[in-house]
Amino acid sequence: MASANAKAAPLTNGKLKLMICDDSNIIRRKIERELQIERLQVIATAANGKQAVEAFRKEPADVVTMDITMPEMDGIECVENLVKIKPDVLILVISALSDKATAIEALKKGANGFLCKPFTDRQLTEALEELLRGAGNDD
Amino acid sequence: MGILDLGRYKGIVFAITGFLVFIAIILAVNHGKAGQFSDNVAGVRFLENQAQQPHAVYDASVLLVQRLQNGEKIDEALEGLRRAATTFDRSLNSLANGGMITDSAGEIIVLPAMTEPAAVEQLKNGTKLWDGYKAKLDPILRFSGSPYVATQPAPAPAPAANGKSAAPAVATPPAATAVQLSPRGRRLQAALNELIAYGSEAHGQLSKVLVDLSTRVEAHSRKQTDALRYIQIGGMVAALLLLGAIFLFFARNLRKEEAASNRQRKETQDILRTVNEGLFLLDKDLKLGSERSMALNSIFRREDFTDLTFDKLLKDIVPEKTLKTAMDYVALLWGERVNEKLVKTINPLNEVEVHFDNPAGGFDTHFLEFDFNRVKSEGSLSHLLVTVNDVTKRVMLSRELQESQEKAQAQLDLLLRILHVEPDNLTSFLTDADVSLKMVNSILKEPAREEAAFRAKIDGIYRQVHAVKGEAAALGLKTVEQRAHAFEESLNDLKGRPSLSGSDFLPLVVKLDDLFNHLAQVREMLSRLVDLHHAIASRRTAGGEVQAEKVDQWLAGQDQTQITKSLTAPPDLGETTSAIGGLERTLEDLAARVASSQSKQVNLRCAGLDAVPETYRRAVKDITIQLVRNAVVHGIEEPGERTKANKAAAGTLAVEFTPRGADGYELIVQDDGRGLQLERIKEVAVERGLITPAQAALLDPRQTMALIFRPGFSTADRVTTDAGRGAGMDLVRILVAELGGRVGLASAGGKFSKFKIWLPATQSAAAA
Repeated sequence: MASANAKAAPLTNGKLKLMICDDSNIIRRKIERELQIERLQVIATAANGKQAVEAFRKEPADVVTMDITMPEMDGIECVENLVKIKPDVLILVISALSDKATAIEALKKGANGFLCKPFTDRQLTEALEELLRGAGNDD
Repeated sequence: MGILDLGRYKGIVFAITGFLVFIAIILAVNHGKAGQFSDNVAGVRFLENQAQQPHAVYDASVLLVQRLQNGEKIDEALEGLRRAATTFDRSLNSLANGGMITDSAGEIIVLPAMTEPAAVEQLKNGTKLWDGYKAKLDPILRFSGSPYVATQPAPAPAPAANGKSAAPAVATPPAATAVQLSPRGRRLQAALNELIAYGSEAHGQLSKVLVDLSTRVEAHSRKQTDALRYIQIGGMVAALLLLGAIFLFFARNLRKEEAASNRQRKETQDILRTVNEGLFLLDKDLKLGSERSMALNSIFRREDFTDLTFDKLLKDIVPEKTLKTAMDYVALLWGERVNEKLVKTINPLNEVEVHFDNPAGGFDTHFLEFDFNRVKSEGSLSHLLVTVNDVTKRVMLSRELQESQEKAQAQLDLLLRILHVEPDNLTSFLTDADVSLKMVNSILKEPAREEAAFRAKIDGIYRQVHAVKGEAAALGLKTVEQRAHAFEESLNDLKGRPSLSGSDFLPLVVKLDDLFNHLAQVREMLSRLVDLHHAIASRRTAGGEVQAEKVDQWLAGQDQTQITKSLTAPPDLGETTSAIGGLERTLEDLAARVASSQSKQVNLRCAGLDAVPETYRRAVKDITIQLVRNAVVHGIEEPGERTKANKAAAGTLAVEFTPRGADGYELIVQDDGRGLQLERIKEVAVERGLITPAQAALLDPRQTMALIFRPGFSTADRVTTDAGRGAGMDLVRILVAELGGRVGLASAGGKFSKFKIWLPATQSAAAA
């Protein structure tokens, strides 16, 4: 139902659009601050799945970092919605490794990778770069 | 791949093509030669025919003479001669030059040109003879009209125009009158006679020339037939040789390739046999591939992996939930979306605990590490390469490391805790605990045979351990409390068993030993602290250098016992007169600690505890610890609840000990909490099987309250070190009863609970 206006214009500077979705303000700021990938530009942040889906409908991002445990709408449901809107979106789930089954559930819904909390800026950069590299291949 | 991209089959395709081309060439040569052969056969037949021709010319001339003599018409005979002569002449010319002529049957015959010198010579002789013949023939053939005089009667009709049938007529002179020849006729006759004279010799020679030529052509033809045969034989031999060469070449190549592939296979097998990791491939149906490393056999303790699927491999060794998660994970890797490198951390089989049945009974626990890698072939995912390692040793080592770290941390905590505990309290606790544990030891040693005796033993041990736990908790000695709790758990396990035997008590000995050792540790730590204290104290005095040195030694971790022994004034670890003052602080600590763990607030007020006689000291301590803990856990409400009920957020708890002279002593523990909840008590008693629902309905409030003193009663939802097992009130009742006292209980819902304990005067207590 939602994929009609999924393709939005790319950023004029040729960068890929990143959305950060995490209920923790600290984590959101941490990702924003530590993002060291030239090709990515943060276009939106969301504190829960619902906000993320709304922001995504207005302007779909190319890459999303996604927490799992969030109020209103959790990461698993959010991933499912985002993939419906834009099937080629790249989603990196960032969550604590307390329950692998939950993380796997998010990946089953269409997320592409997983990064364990807590993470260093280097781990974040490497994971996002791997995510972009993987999308460049036929994976 | 294009149709001409033959890959490894290029060689064989080229070889077969070459072979077919060779066979085609042989066949083409064969065909050409076979065509010549039929030409030669026709030529031989023609020459044989032509060999008759000189005879025919001769016969025709003889016939002509006969006619002339007989005065018959000569036209037909002359024409026969002309035809025979012309035919032979043309044939001879053709033979000399080679070429095509049409034979009498109308078929075109290609004559082989006579090029051999002998044949040319023969032909030349023949031509010469014929030329002579032709010179004689010429005036005859030019003759036309009638050779007879005009008056002569009409010539007799010519007999059948057949040379042979006419021949006998030559010998027979005409019976009729002499024929009157015209002068031209006479000239013709003369020419004919001349021709016959020449021809009688020449026609035989001419025939011979032609027969010789025919023989020559036949010989030539035979030669060609032989050549054809040689070509065929040569072709066959060459084809066979070529085929053999191709076969040899490919056989050698095949052998070479086979040897190479055998070597590769052997190398692969060597690797798979030697590698320590379990290696195998999984296909899309999650079936294990046929090539596997030998290590799998020992890792999975099985030999047969044929037609095995991944879930079947894991089914019996991991819990169902892990299996499901693992299968989900593997399914993700088969999908295209997931980035393989970015999901390694959530591999549920990264360090998975597995259980293998042990033939000797029970099971062995191992830890396996699975790694999955996508295998791509021609751009698409064909398999998952699974690597399995047995990491049991690594896991065990890391757990040991963690345990020892935790132990060290616990010791440090213990030390810090000891620093906070009043020394008198601690020494008093250590002494009491020592007594309790020795009692446990003697109970364990008591002989018992019957079920009831075993149960009595358990109850006896329980009371002692519970007291130790309570005191340790009161002092905040977490490590001691945890061990006592574990001991209680074991006892509880025994209680729950339908029948008991002596051997069931063996594990308790280990637990007891553990507790003893731990208390010894605490004691030693305390003793070190006392040593340190003394050492520092002596150092402060003049001439304390020796002691200062000892402190340094102590700090350097040297042998403690010797240092301790050398100390002049060993610390007094015995009982002190201020033990009861310690109880007050112990209870305050306990109340504060339990309140904090329950998120509650409580103010404890103690009175008269210094009046507890020595004989009751221990019992009062155990009882008050139990009642204070119960009051905080069960009685005092959480601050929110209290505020709603218009109470102060902090609950009030009072412990009063009052001597009543000859009437003995009175101990009151009272809180302003929610009071005893009679309905809840009934429910719990029914749940625990202490009474039936029917009995519960009949109980009055007093009887209901009495339920809390029954063994095994507790309203706490879950067993913690603070509460929940239901032994506490039972213990209070037994302690009081052992001292010959009584317990009274009053409560008002939502307002208070009050335990009033009467103990007999000391004399009677001693007697009891």
